Amino acid sequence: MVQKDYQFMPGTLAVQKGSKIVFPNQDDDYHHVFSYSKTKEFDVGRYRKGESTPSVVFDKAGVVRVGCEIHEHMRAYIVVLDTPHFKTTEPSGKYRLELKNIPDGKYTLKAWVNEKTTWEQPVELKEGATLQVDFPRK
Amino acid sequence: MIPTLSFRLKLLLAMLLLVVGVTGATLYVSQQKNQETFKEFFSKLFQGQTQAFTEKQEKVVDGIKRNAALLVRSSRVQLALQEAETGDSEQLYRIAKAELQTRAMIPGPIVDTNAVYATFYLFLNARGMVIPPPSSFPELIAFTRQQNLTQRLNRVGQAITNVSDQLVGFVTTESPSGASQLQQTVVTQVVDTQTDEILGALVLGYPMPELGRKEEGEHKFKAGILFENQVYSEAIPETLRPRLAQRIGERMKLPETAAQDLTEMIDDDLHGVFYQALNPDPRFPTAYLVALISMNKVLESARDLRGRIVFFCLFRIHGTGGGDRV
Repeated sequence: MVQKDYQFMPGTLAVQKGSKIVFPNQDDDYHHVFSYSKTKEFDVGRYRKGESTPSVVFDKAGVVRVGCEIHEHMRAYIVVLDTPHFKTTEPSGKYRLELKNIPDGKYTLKAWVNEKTTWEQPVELKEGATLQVDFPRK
Repeated sequence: MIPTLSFRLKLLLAMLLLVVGVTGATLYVSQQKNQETFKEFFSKLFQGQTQAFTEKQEKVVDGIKRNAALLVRSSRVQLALQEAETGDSEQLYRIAKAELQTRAMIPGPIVDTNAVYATFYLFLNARGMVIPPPSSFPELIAFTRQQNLTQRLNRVGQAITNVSDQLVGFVTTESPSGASQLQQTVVTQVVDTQTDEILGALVLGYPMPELGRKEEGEHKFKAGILFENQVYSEAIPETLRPRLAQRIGERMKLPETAAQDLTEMIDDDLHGVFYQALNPDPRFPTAYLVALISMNKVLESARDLRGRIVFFCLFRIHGTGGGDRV
């Protein structure tokens, strides 16, 4: 999760549980990334471009709110997931999730929009089949 | 049989009556005018005092508002407030304490004896309800245990959910000894810097400064604040405060035209009672600045004027009699 032009990029990042995320600073200024979320509380301290890049391992599923102590407008979300089967949509909302090594059966497809909005829909998966699932627009 | 009066005697009596009549009328008009002048003078004096007090308080409050507005922009406070929604307020109050100490809004490791520190600080959630402090903050729990305070703050919190400005008003708290204490509160909304979403509010309570005694030239003031039927003042005698609150409360119910001027005796000294609303914000109960101004000078002046007019009258009568002897 890069800090560039005084923003986190991407603003929302989905990762699988156990992933390590690095926080490179590409601005000519200090940043101070931290979170108070119960999913993962961390504080990597102040650092500048060129200094050693801090990283954090996310070992619990949930949503992590991330902020910069110095630049109060900088906010981001890390969505830590229990499953390896996920995809971040395009800005337009389109997505294509290719599922491999997953047995046929009934599953739940969930879409995390923001902290207040999560959609879900039951789906039945069959090998080689394509499903089109549309969630309502915001 | 009525004795016949000489023309000179009749003239003398007529002149005497005229002098007494004119003197009486002059005395009455002068006293009325004098009374009106003093009433206006005291009223202006009180207005001046109220304005001076309000301006002084506004300066103090403006500083608190500025600091509070900066504090609620802190990303640490905003993120901790969002986390407190899940039920754990430890982080929030810990961070707020550190931030308030950094800004010298509450006592820190170094205490400045001249600084004005907040008596309490509490957070309201996005629904305007008080977020209970954790057990590690007994000094704040002592306030949230006061039901009157939390109920009042909850009401205010719910009223400001759609308003972006800062609110200033009064609340009462209880001291450890059970005494009621007046606090001026500043409520600042916490708005997510990125999304403009209302996350909650920060409430800061400050003790009201003692207005006490004051001397404006020859006029002695005893001032205090009337709030929810109670007068808060060190200068106004404790025994007088409940009656004063009651009398002002009763007077306020009367239409302005029917209301009489209020006076009170303190140590054999007649005092005029003046009051004026301090905070027009309807989301808080109204507080009134109350002043008792010694009327001794008025009475002295009235006595002096009366004396002078009566002296002039006697002089004229004596003059009339003297003329008779010539």
